[in-house]
Amino acid sequence: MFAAATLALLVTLALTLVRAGLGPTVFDRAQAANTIGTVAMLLLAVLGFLNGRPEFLDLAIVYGLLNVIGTIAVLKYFRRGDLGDSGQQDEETAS
Amino acid sequence: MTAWLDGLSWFCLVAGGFFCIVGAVGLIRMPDFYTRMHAASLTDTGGAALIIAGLLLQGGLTLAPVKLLAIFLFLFLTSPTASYALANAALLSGLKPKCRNETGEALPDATPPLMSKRPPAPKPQPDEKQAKPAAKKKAASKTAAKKTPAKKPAAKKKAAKKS
Repeated sequence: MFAAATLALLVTLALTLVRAGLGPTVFDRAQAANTIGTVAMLLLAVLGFLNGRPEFLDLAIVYGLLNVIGTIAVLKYFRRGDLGDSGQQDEETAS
Repeated sequence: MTAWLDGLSWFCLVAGGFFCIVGAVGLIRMPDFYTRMHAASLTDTGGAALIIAGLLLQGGLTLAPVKLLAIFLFLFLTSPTASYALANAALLSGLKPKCRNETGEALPDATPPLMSKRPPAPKPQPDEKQAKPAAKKKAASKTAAKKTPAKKPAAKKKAAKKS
C-alpha cells in the first residue's frame, strides 16, 4: 500500500516538474517549486514508513520549513530586486 | 480491528494519492495562473491531509504519530500563507486574470479584470424593437399605479403625455 502512495506521489512530482519547465510566467515556476516541496515532504514521510525508519519524519519537518521560507524569499526577490538590506556601510558613515 | 484499521489506512493513502494526481493534472491543464494555483492548493491540503491520515492510522513507533501531526499542522498553517504570498506578488506585478478568449470575446461567467474599470459585456436581447415599446408602456402604467395619491395627477399627466 505504501508502494501505491509512493507511485502516486512520484507521478505528481513528474507532472509538477513539467509545469515548472513550461510555465510562461515566473510565478508559475514558483508555484510549481512550492508544490514540489510539499510533495517531497509527503514522499519523505511515506518512504520513512516504507523502510521502517522514523528519522525521515524529522527530515520532512526540516524540509517543510526550508520550503516555505524559500518560496517567500524568492517572491521577495521578485518584488524588490534584492533580498534585504544592502548598503549598511552608507548608513554607518551617514550617522 | 487491525484489519479494519489497515483497510481504512489503505483507503486514505489511495485517496490522498488520487487528490495529489488530480492537483498535478490541474496544474498542467488549467488556462491561467490563478486557476493553476487553485488546483495546486488541492494537492497541498486534500492530498497531504489524506496521506498523513493514512499514515497515522498505521499506528507507528513511539514518537511517529506526534511528528506526523506536527507535519500536518505545519503544512496547514504555511501552505495557505505561501499561496497568498504567490497570488499577492503576481497581482501586484500586474499579472491579470484571464477573462477573454484568444479571439477577444469574454469568457462565460467571467468578471471584469480587477485593475481596469471596463463595464461588463452587454447581454444580448432578442427582438429588441418589438419588446421595447410594450415594456415602456407597462413600466409607465406600473409607476403611475405605485405612486402616492398626492403625486397621482403629475403621474397621470406624464402617462397622458407619453401615450
